[in-house]
Amino acid sequence: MQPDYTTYSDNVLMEAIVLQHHLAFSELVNRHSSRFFGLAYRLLNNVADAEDITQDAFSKLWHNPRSYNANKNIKFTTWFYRVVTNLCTDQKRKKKPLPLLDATSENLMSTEISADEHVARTQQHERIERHIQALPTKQQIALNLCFYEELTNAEAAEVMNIKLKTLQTLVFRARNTLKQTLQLDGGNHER
Amino acid sequence: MNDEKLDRLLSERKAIETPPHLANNIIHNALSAAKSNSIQNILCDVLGFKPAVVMALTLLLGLAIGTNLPQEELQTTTALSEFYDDIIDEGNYL
Repeated sequence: MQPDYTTYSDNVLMEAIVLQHHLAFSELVNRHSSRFFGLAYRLLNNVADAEDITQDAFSKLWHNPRSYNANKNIKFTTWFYRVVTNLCTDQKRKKKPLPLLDATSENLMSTEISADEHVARTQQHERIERHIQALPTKQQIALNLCFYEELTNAEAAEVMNIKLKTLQTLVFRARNTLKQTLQLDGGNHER
Repeated sequence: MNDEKLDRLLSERKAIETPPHLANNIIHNALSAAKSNSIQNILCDVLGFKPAVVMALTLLLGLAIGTNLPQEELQTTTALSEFYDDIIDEGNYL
């Protein structure tokens, strides 16, 4: 009889994955793929690239699970956020950002709203996205981890392998820049 | 612009729809690659094939599948693949 992996912690799953247990890997993917896809998507602003990065990260995990050293007292998710952000950073270096809003972003707007409302939201969404994508990569990562992934500052600093103070400075700068640029770009256009 | 307004704008970006087949694709691709490697290991370690021969067979098999083999040959390939799957699943090759 197969163990019920859904009840196991991430670290126990990782131990099973080292032994190449398929079901443990499947459980870990089902448990976390959405969250890491979300991060990759926010950093790359492209569904296809975000899918590739998420797939690549999990593939590396399956083929080399020992690269996660649970004895280092680091949470699996913290370590994997680091893997995904590093892959995204490499990807951003290789590739200029694509035009904003692809299929998924459009889907987000597909609820029952009027055409005018849809256009207004799309424009608003594009404007926010454009300004976030214009931030330096480290500021983007810090903002995404703290605001969207809802990590504490300490956890985000650990993911980025930087000091807490540095993380706080990155978030502060990101927010300040956004306040200024959104204001200049008509960020106070209220819907 | 104040913090509250910025937070509101940022939160409008929050919802993201994960592609529905993402998890399945990740699992399928990672495990198929592993299975393919296992088949190559069997051919090398158990049947004594040279790595270059195994690579050539893998390429040929990939090409054959990609170029639509006639039905009877495809069945043979599928049967061979299922044969290896059974061996791997049962761990008999060790």
